[in-house]
Amino acid sequence: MKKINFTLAGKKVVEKWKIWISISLSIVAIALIAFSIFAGVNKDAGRGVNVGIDFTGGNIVTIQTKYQRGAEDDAHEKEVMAVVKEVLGEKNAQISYTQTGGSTNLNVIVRFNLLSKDNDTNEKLNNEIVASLQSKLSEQIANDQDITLEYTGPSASSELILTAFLSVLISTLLILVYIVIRFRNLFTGLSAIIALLHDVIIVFALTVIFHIQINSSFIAAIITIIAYSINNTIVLFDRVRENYKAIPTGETINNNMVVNKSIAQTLSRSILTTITTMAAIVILTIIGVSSIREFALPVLFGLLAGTFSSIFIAPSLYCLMKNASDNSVKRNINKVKKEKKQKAKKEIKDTAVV
Amino acid sequence: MKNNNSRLKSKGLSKTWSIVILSVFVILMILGIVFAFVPLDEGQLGIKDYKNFASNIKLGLDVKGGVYAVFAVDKQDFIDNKYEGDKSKTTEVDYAFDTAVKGTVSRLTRLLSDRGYTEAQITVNGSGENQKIRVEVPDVADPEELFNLIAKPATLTMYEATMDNQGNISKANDDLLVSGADIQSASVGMDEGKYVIQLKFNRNGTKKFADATANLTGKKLGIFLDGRPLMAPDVNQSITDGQAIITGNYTYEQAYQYATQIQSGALGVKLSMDSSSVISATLGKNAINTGLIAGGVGLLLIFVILIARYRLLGVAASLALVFFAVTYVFILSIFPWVQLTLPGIAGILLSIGMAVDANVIIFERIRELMSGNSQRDIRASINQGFKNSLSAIIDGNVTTLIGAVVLAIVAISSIKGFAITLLIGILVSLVSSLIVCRVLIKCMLAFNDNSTKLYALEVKDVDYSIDYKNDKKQLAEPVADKKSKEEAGQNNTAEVEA
Repeated sequence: MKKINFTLAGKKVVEKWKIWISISLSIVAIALIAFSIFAGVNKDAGRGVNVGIDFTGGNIVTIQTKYQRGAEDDAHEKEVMAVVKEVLGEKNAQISYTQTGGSTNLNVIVRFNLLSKDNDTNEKLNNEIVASLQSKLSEQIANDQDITLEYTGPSASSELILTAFLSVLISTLLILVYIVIRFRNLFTGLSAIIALLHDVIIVFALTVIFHIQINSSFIAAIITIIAYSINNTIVLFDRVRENYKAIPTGETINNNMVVNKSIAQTLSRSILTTITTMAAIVILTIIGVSSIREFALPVLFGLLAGTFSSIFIAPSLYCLMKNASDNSVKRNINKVKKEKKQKAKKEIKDTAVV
Repeated sequence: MKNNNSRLKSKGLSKTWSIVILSVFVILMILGIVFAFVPLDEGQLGIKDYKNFASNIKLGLDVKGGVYAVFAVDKQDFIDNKYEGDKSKTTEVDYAFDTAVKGTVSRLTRLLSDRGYTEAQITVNGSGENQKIRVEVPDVADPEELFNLIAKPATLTMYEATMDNQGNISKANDDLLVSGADIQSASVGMDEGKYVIQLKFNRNGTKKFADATANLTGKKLGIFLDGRPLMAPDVNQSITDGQAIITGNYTYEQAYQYATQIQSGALGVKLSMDSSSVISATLGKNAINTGLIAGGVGLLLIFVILIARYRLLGVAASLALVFFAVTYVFILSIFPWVQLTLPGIAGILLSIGMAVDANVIIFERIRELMSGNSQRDIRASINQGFKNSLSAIIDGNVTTLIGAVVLAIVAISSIKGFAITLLIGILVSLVSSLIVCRVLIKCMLAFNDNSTKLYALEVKDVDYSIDYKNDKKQLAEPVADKKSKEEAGQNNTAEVEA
């Protein structure tokens, strides 16, 4: 068996920053195209992103059946749901989730999206649905008056979004401070944080592209990604820090070389960790029901984006910043009188290396 | 092997100790797994209330289901109370009513979350006259009591108040000055460029408030919500027009917070329960099973990957992972505020994968140390590997911890539970990968510390140096000026295209 070896040893990575950034940018561009297509098809800009009823509010239909609760609940639920799905399908409604309830009689509760932004139109369509349900659900299942349908407000409060946003902001700042202190280097912190934002943007872009419904669990997914993806970047910069330390004083430092080496050294770890972290989530995505998938898929996207950004984006950004700053420092030094002396010294060294 | 024995005694664990440690570990883990996951019938162990501890973890609304109640909001009562039945100002009344309903929702959210039902979901159903508030809470012991509590509106009262040095507010006497029913609205406003809380009183309230402020000028007016002090502003003058503002250096958020709290007490809408019943989980019945299967298969996959790449080291990491899983489940089951929701389950699954991350970092380090030189001392390389990886592991986990702690403090409800799950996961994984795994490796070393095959350490030397020969400019001038850097950049892109 031939061993598969992923390696970037001896490869230039950070020099190709334009490619890495273009990859990310093209994903965002595709997302924008997807957004306009979805919005165009539905003739509604708001539909470009598939926002679930946790945020938009929706409709809730409750059917109180004549069935007694008991062992046959599942079969009865299926029977009712078949009719509900048929009726809602005619109106292109998206069911966001189904519940059963009731203490003596079995209730079937179905939530679905708003059918129109206009209240009156929504109500008109709702009435049609109720009428249709009443005619299709036989007398044995439910009385006409036991089918109710009404508007339900959003369950994800603005407070949830606000505090989530706030806590992400605060933790990002604190993480930045921690990195800057630990690494004694602003560029490390900045590139790590930008990589983090990159991951969030990519997840959002992919969610738009695949038209995955955004419900309150999406917020949790974003937070999960922020929590986990910074780890990869830190491991890489830890190696960069170590490799810088190993350079004997007096030797000229080639930032790109140091960083490229660090990327190659941490690559196998990055890939292995991504695989182990993804293992359970991939299985969850495959076997889970749709609402689980709505959460698991963004997380998967985030893990992939996080791995990509920690190998390609963060180190490239770091080198761009570090080189630029070294250059300006260099220019200042050049103005000093020692200029000539330094140049002579370096030339000797350079010829020795070449 | 034999000539190594003398060294073993001085450097590591003896074989006897290793066997003892390994056996104790394995027995503990087997017991742990049994107690954690295996459901035993009552009496089978002779213990009556035995429950496998995984089933002790509280489950969230989306996973387990719970109870719900729909409350009707009495608009007529609201109009009677606040506008003395005056329906003429329709827009104003409608607006005030909508605000009142919103205020009630925010009061209920706080009330339920205070009581530990962080997963409770409150939605407003219907619109206009027929607004209903639907409350869903996870399985509770006494839903009746909870729903009674919900139906009872918050009471707002104002008394003369005193404040001690610590800022504690207490009633000065028991004379009720103004009550919630006297207030028409509370909102955020601006005064002299600062956010203030605006209070508007109804006809009765205007008179009561005028009397109160006349008597209390220079003193404090305490505002109490459900008997608990909310704030105690100083009274500067007698207010006779029924419109007051409370100033302070409030941010918009603070002012808004106070305003809604006063609203919730003042505009307390009368709720009456329409219906209540038990509901199933939104995720379907198999959410937990799905999670367990994904976790189990995921674990197996990780074992296979680890052992295939690291052999004996992988075995140690896998055993440490079992320790992680058992301990994690145990701690989650004893923390009362952990409530497992869908994000929580996924978080646990992720943390299983993340728990081996530290071990992967360490093992890759060890392999690197051994690369190109299989004669090197394995024991020394392993120690060195653990040491060298520590800074990466600490920094990586501290940054994640920062995120988790901030979330646990700042975020509300469901996200808070998730943050705590994450936090516990990080801490347990550090113990398992840095301590448990290391001890296990030491035990293994007692039996064999020189087979690179066994530890998968026959690693080829990798040359990480980069050929910069074609990039003379970069080598000659590592800190090149802007112009030449641009050229270098162009060279690179050209290279890529080729």
